[in-house]
Amino acid sequence: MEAVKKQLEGRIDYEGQRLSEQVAYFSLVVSGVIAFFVSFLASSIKFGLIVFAAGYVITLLAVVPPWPVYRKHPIAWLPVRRLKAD
Amino acid sequence: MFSAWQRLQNTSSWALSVCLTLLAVISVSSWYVLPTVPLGSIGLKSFQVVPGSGSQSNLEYALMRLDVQSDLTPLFANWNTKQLYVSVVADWNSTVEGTQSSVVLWDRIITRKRPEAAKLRIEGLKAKNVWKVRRGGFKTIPSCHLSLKYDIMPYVGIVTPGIGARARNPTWNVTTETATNSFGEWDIAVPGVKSGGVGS
Repeated sequence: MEAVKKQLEGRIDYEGQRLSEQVAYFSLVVSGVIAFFVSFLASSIKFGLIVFAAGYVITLLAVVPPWPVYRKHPIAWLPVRRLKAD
Repeated sequence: MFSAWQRLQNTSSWALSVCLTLLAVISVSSWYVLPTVPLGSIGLKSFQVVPGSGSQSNLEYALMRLDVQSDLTPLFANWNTKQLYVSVVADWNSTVEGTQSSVVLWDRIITRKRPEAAKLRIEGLKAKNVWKVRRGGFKTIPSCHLSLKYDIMPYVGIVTPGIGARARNPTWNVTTETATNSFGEWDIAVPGVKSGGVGS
């Protein structure tokens, strides 16, 4: 149960958090711009919104799961120091 | 962004902001490509003012038959046009009260499903809503404007009004010597009250 929970939690490291945020930010802006031009050229607002929805789903797929690219920089903890027993 | 749930939430809230911005940009940009329509015509077939009778005897009615011609199909060339609200409106100024008033005589909604319906050619149009005033009220109304107005209802954005046709004064500029009034090109003379009545 704990293992399943941990898997679903999908933790990533600090560098991965920065990267995933940038990916989400730019891919959504780009899909919004593409959606605008598509709907303008196709003369259909519905079609443009479908394009944007597709961009949103792709962004979710790219960002939400803990892909290995977001776990390349694990935190290097200091080694455990043994205290001398008396 | 440390957990999957948080990434889902952050991405969705940003997507919502981008989507609203997209819709705002669409609504503003569709303004710049707003089509215009050539001015159609409204012909006045008959126009009479009659007093009411019976329980309506404190009222006067303007009865008219109109021929309306206007081609509003270019409005559907705009990607943001969802439907049109089309109405025939009478506007007038009262010389006594000094007020501007208008009444919607007839209206119709034209949807994108049948854009060919925007080619209006209606003969003998009868008012859905009768233009009526208090008894003696039409004496203070020398003239009126009759126009076909349209309101573009967009998918996103604000409703944009426009004029599709106007009724032209038939006597305007024809015989300047014998002109009995100083009405302009678009002023329609309101006739005097006929004897006899309608309604009851």
